[in-house]
Amino acid sequence: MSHEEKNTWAQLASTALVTGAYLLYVNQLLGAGVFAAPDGLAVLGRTVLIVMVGGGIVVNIVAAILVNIVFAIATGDAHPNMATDERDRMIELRSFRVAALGLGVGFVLSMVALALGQSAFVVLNLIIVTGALANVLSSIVKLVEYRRGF
Amino acid sequence: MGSPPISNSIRRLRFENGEMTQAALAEQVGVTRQTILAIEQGRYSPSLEVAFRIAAVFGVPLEAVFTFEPDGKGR
Repeated sequence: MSHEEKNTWAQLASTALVTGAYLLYVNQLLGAGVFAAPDGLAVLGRTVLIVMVGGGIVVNIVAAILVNIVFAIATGDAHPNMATDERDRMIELRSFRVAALGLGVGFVLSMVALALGQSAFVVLNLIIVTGALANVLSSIVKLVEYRRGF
Repeated sequence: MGSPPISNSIRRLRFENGEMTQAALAEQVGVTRQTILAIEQGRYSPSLEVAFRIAAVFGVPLEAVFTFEPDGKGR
């Protein structure tokens, strides 16, 4: 398994973990009525920045390190090749196209929700969740292309 | 998408060159071992540059390594 493929597994796991944690936390805040307050959207913004962005970066780095350690132990290769090549870059581009498409669909869905009179809270979370789903889909496409070829 | 309509003789050429490993070929070509494996199994069509580099490692012309089979006989 190439270095990039291992990192994709790490990214997939960290996106699922961080998004799950974000949804649980936001659900708790919602239950406590935090978002009904005048500064509710500011709290949501801070939550996204801290959990999804900050937490996402940290968890992704930790997951990448753990995945590389696990594979190094499983394969007995203490110095795996970390190089990338044209195939990695091609797969990255193809998966990026899927992510961009997913984000576009998410944005349109959010605008539809807005047009139907949904609150800013719902619309913003729709953008965030579809963004996370686009990221997951892009990672899955990457893993399939590494295995199946193209 | 199915396999590309290109077959190759990399496995045979490696065998004829002292059982060269995929890792050794990858290092000389400048790609990862996984890419050599994917090319050898017909799961990836390399760029023209990498194709020429592979042929150069074996010291043979490009057509001795890769064969275009548009009728779908590619591996």
